[in-house]
Amino acid sequence: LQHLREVICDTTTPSWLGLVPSNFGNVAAGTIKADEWQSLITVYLPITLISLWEMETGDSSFKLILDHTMDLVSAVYIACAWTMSSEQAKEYCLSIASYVGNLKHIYPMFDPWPNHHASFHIYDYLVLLGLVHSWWF
Amino acid sequence: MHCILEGLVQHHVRSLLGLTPKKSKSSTASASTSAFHYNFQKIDSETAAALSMSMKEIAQVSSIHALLVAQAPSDEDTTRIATYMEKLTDSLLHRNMRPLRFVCQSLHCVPIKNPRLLKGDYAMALVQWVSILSTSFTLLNLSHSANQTLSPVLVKFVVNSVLKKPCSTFVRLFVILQLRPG
Repeated sequence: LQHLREVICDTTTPSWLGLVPSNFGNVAAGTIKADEWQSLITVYLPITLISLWEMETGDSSFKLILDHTMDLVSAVYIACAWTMSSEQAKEYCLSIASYVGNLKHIYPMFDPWPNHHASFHIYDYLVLLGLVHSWWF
Repeated sequence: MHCILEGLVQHHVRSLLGLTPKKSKSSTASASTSAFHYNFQKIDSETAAALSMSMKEIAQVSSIHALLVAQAPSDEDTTRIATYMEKLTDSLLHRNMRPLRFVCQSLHCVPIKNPRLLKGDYAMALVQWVSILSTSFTLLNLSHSANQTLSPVLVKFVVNSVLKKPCSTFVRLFVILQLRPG
């Protein structure tokens, strides 16, 4: 968590990117909004995990967690893109299927949430309605 | 999209990666100060899998531990103690059956009742454990504080001794010698 906070502080980002509180994780940081979660998962978390992975190269389980997290990163990145095609929608579907499919393998105690099921329906919306920003208010 | 960003992403970061400080996970009771330290049996992944416990239930084990060692009101005020015990019972009843049963079994205070035990029975057994421990220390004229660690053997000895032979000088001396700063 401390490393993630350092990454948030040290990373220079464009002004249009949603800001994540540098004290992320503290109660004082308040409620994190969807826009901030998007910035966290697509920018700060990959930098944090990859830099930690570099430090712990011998740990195979860490690589497993990193790959699994990157499936979610890919899914969010594609879903929130400003362009959409049928190929991108399929890539989203593959990423989210890989993410949800490996949850039980990596976290045996994990119980699926309704959100995990709902995330598959985003694919249908991407195919039927196009890019997320045209129908997500 | 909120189901992904505020659902999946938040769950992944907070619950799966554990990027949340322990303090913010604490429940209402664990937010209060501990009266003493107790070496509770921790739950491992194998035991949790054998008991078919979910991640939520595994997290509840530590919150139950925090409830059991929370600071109780002054021993002289019986009304406040009764209110505290009622609140403790309510808090325990908000936990799931499996973590309550695991804590009861680890403390060897599983209630004896047929044909089957309910969540309330386990909650009452844990409240009784807290009550007996508190009464035992009061009878022995001892005070336990946050910097003291009570070992399971010591607790068992104190409770059994007080129930059999209250206020024994030998017991009191033994406990004083055993109490060490945590």
